[in-house]
Amino acid sequence: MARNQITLEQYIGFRKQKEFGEKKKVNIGKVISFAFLLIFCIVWLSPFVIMFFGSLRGFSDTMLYPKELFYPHSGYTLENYEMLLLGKLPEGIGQVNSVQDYKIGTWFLNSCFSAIGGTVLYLFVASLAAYAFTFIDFKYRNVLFAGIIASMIIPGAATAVGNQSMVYSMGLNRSLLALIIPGLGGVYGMYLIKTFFESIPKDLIESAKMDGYSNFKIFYKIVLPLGKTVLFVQGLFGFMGGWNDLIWPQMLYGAKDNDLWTLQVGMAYIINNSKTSNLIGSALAGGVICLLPVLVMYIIAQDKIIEGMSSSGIKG
Amino acid sequence: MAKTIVLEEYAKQRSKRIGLFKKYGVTAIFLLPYLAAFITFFVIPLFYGIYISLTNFQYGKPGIETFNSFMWFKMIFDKSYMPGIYNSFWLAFVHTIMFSVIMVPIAILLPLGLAILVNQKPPGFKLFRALIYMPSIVPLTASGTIFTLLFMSKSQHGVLAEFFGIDTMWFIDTWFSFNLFGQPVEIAYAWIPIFFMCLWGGWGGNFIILSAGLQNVPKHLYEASDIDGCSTWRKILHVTIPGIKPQLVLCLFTTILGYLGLYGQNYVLSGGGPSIAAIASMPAGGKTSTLMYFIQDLVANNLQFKSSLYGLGAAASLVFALFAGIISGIQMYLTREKKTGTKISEAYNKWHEIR
Repeated sequence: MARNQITLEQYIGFRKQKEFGEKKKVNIGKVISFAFLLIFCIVWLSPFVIMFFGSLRGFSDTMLYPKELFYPHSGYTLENYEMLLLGKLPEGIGQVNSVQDYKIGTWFLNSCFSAIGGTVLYLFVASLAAYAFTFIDFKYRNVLFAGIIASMIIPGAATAVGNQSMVYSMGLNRSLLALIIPGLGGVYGMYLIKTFFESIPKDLIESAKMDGYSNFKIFYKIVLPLGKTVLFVQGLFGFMGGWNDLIWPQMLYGAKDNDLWTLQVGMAYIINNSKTSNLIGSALAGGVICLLPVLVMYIIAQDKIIEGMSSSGIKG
Repeated sequence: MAKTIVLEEYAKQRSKRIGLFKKYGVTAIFLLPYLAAFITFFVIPLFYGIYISLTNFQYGKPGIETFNSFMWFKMIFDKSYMPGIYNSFWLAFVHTIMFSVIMVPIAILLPLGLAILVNQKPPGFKLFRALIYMPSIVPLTASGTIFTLLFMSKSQHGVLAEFFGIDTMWFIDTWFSFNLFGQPVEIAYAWIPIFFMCLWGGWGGNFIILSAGLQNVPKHLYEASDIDGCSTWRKILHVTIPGIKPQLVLCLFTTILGYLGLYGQNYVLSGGGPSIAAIASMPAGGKTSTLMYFIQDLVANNLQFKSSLYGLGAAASLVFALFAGIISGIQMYLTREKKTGTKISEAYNKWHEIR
């Protein structure tokens, strides 16, 4: 009995010590990580700032006052953007022939078409297939699905060359459709949509079937509204993937047809032509144009994108 | 009388047809678009690619090719057959492997460290998480412009040259060279900008996945190890790392695959160059070539190669795909094992409950 007796003073002292000690410890960990992350973020985000201000710098400032990164010597100017978008060369820049074939507007639209069109079409096709694989019973369903999943083991490189010739034989080699149609057979997005559909209670679908709903109605009225989030996230990833893709558009139209280039292919060409101090500003301006749609989307839907990324890691 | 039989038969047939449609038609409508795309743009091209690699196929002129007794594969694997192409392929291979060996640990450990820091939940950790992921959404070409500006030579007023006075021709000079199997391998300075570009924006996905994994590590394990008097370091080593093992495996393999397929960074920054004099006229005859660059050079960038060596591109991509496929096969095996494990235990629990 006597062993367990603690005086009130002892107890309060113990509590205080415990609280004080714990608080202090936690604070140190948080402070250190906060300070480190702050420094890290400043360093890691500085390229964005350099790029943005660099694109607002006139070409003569880049040459003559290269150290004034953020506040150009003769003020901010849009001449880099004018050069890219309107083909208007600033005075004194000399002969720059290649600027004439920069068709940034066309490339931008091509990129939009490929990214948006490809994403929307893929979501449609893939969610239809995911619905069939989840809610419709048919012969060999599981075998078929397992086969499709197993094909993920084969990397894209194995099919790319065959695809290129295939697209050529189909007569699509001078058509923008070639940018989006081959992506429709993608497995990973369909797999993610299907795993989400599986979490929809089967009873719901069954009772809808009892009420005489057809499969199309169930798909349209029940499954799609419930799967809105996963479709949205998948759409974001699809858009970013389509927008950032360089290899496939380059395989299609790499060395010719600059009317059909996407912004990525065009930008690679611009960078190749602007590795000098008077032209780098225009490349930076192009970079800003190229980055802007993705960045705006990321800022708007940042939490959704991170959530989608996280869940893909937890599941897979 | 005869008419009624016809009608009856007609009705029978019709109901049969409707039944068939109900049975298969709906499924077909749902499944067909996807399956058609999958077969047309995955299955057929896979075999078409194999076919191309075995014949003297010419791009844009299908139908006149003949079997050429593994000529393209001989070019890759037989040193004496065409030494130039052999050298440039295997140099690209060596470059790819070396860069991956350097880059992959960094692309795992750096995000892991940051994820542990973010998981301490300092004020504004959600904002930090969003900001740290931000460089990874940047298109390669956009970040390429930044790193071109940073690494331009002194005469062109690159940022590094101006601020730190580093007078290196980043995209021209050779850093050092060594011999590998009697073959000189020259390492260009151009790898450094490529390295920094990957360091800047090449691991955001890993960071997000790992920090999500960290949040799922059960808290009571930390408390238990606290009671046992573990140091922070031991806690990370013995609680955190085993706790996020599935995520680590996933990140490891996707990162390896990503860097084996390295293409955009070196294409945008250095264009595969500076070229090596001995094999300058060969595909990817540069000091920053990679396997993917070799393939792209053959089938996309260079029209001359595209018309004369198209089959070699197909063969090289098959070799690359075999290589990458083995790695992703190992990954699938490792992650699947875990999955079936939980599946079995779940099934067991259900069975137990019922009993």
